[in-house]
Amino acid sequence: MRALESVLVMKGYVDPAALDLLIDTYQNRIGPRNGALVVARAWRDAQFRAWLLRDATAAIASLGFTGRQGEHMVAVENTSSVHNMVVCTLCSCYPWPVLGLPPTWYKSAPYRSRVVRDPRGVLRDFGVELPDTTAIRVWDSTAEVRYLVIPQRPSASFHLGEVELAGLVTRDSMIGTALAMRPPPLLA
Amino acid sequence: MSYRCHADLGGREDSRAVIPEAEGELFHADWEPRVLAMSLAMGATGLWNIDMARAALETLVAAKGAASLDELALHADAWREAAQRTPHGQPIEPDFAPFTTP
Repeated sequence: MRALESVLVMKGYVDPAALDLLIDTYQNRIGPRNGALVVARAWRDAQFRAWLLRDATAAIASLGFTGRQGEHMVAVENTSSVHNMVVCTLCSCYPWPVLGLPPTWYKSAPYRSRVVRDPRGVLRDFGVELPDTTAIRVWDSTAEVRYLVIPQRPSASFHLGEVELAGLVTRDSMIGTALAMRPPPLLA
Repeated sequence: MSYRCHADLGGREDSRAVIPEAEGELFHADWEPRVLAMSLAMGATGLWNIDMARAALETLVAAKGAASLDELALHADAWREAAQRTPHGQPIEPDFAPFTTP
């Protein structure tokens, strides 16, 4: 790996500083906090929510989140009757601009095989138990289309602003293997 | 012979648990971020694209002398032929007999 890097640098194909910048970008700039902001906006702004559900690519781009692996976005909304989960059964397709790099389990064989035949069992691996009355929809990503789950807004979060709401939105809740976190209780 | 594709894992039986991972846990070894950055950077140079990278991987068997490119092509043709004559949902079973029996 080091030999490959030094030879490419010596031949003028890559600049080590550019590699550092790329790493910093995926470590610190492009990640699930972007998606969390999209969800928080949708929770607070009905017009934005409608736009997100109609044309997720454009709505997400309006917040500045664009780029590779997110050119064709679809947002799917969780309700009390439907819970959405996202997988890539073929490999590891994932919406990079809003969620960053995929976690190891998303790329693993157990997740990719089991989530389509036993989604409730997979949810249990994440400590999530949904009522039988909640239908589960599993979306299989493609080379082009990437999905973002809009988790249900937790109750008792009416008083929170966008940044605080975004803090309740975990990466896993936007893949569908978790629910959004509950807000800290209001002091009496 | 039944064939089960190892790329499309959807619905395959697998009893192993899914192991959750903390949100900030991105890389698991020092080489991972460097290789990610190098593949993105070299992609940007336009020197090769993803299909060329895949072709390089696919022809490694020949470069390492495990099988000739001709043999690889015979297998690819057999799979292609089998895929074309197999109805959707049925197992794809290539016929290797023409080039394995004398």
